[in-house]
Amino acid sequence: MSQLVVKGLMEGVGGEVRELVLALYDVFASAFKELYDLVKSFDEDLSRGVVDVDEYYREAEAVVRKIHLDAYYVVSRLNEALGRHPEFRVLPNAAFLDALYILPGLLAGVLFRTACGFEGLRRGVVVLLGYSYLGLAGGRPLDAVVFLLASIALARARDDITAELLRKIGVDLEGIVNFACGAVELAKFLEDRGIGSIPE
Amino acid sequence: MGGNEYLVDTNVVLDVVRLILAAKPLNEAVVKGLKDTEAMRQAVASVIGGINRINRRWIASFLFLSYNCRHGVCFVVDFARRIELPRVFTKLLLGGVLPVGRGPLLDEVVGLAERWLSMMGSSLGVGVLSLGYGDFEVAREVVKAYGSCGARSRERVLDNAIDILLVATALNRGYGFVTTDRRLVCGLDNKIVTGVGQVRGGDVPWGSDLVCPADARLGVGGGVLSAKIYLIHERCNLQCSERERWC
Repeated sequence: MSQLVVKGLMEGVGGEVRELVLALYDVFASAFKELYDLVKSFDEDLSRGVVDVDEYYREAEAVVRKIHLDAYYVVSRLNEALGRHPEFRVLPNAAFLDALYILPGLLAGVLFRTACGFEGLRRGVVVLLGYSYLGLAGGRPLDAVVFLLASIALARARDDITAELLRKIGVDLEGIVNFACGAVELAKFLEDRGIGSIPE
Repeated sequence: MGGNEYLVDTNVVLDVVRLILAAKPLNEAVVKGLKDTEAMRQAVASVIGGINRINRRWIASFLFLSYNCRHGVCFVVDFARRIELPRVFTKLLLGGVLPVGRGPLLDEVVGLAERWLSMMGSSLGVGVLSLGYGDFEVAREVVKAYGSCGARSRERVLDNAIDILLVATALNRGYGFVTTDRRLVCGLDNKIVTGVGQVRGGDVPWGSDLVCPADARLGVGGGVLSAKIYLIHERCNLQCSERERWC
C-alpha cells in the first residue's frame, strides 16, 4: 500500500529508475520500521482531508529515532533488493557503506533531472521526492521523511500541507524547486559544451 | 553588516553541479528507455567506481546551499570570474573536453566563466560580490597576525593569498564562510579559526555530518571581527593536526 503511494509520485519517471526508487524505498522503510505505516496513514488522512502536520512531524521524529542502526542489515537488504535488478549489480565492487549514499544520491540527481523537465505540480512532486533521497544520502533521515510526506501532499494538490511540512525543516517549496532546477540548468549548460564532469 | 549572508567558496557551487553531472549517464539510459542491462550497468558503475563517482561532499554541498541560499543571501567573490572559473575551464580545454575556438583563448575562457556566473545568479540565486579595500585591509591584518608566528607561517598564508582574502572578506562583512578547503580551515586553526572538529556524528551509520561549523575571530583596531565558518568535507570532524596548522 505505502509502496503504491510512492509509486504514484513517479508518474512520468522512467521505468528502470522508478523500480530502483521503489527498491530503495523498501530497503530504507525496512530499516525505519514504522515508515510504511506512517506513509500509509498520512495518505489515508490526506484522502479524508484531515492531516495534523504537527502530529505527523512528531511521528516522523519518532520513526527516525528508532532507526535500525545496523548498517550491515541495511546493506544486506540493499543487496537483496538490487539482486532483482541485474543492471544494478555493480555493488560488490563498491564499499558497502558507500552504496548507502551513492545510490540515493544518484537517484536524487536523476529525479531532479526528470522533474525539471516537467511543469507545474509534477515538477514539485518529483523534486521533493528527489530531496527525500538526497536527505537519505546526506545523512538527514528526518528531512528525508518530511520531504517524502511533502511530496505525497503535493501530489494530492495539498500545497498548504506541503508548505507547512517544509517549514518544519526550514525550507520552502519554491526555493528548493528553483535551486534543484537551477543546478540542472547549470549542468546542462556545461553538457551542451561537451563537459561531463568538473575536475576537483 | 551580514546576518544570514554566506560567502561561498566557488568549489561548493561546483559540487552542486558535479552531482547533477554525475547522474547524466543513468538519466540518459533511462530517457532512451534502454533495455540493455549492460548499458545500464555501465551507467551505474560510472557513478559508483568510475570518473563520475558520487562524493558525499557533493551531496552535503547541495543540501547546504539548498537550505541556505534563498532570497539572494549567498555570494561568490569576483575572483571566481577572473581566476577560479577560468582555471576550471582552462583545465577542461587542456584536457581536450572543450573545443578550442579560433578567437583569443583568454576571451573564450573568460567568456565561458562570465556566462556561467551569470546563470549561477539567475538559476541558484548566488550573486557575485565585489571585493573592496576594506576586505583587503582585513586580509593584511590576517597576514600580520601570522607574521608574528614566524616567517614560515607568513609565507604559508601568502601562498594561499586568495583564500585568505575570502576569510578576511567574511570577517569584514560578518558573513558565514562556506568552504570545502580543510587545509585552509586547519591552517588558520588556533589563531583565526576556533572550534574546528566539534561536530557530532550523524543520525545514521552512513551519514555522519559533513558540515563542520567553526568560528573565525580577528582583533582589528580595538574591535573584534567575527564570522561563522562552515567546512564541508568528508573528514571535517577530525581534529586538525599540528602539522596542518600554519601557526
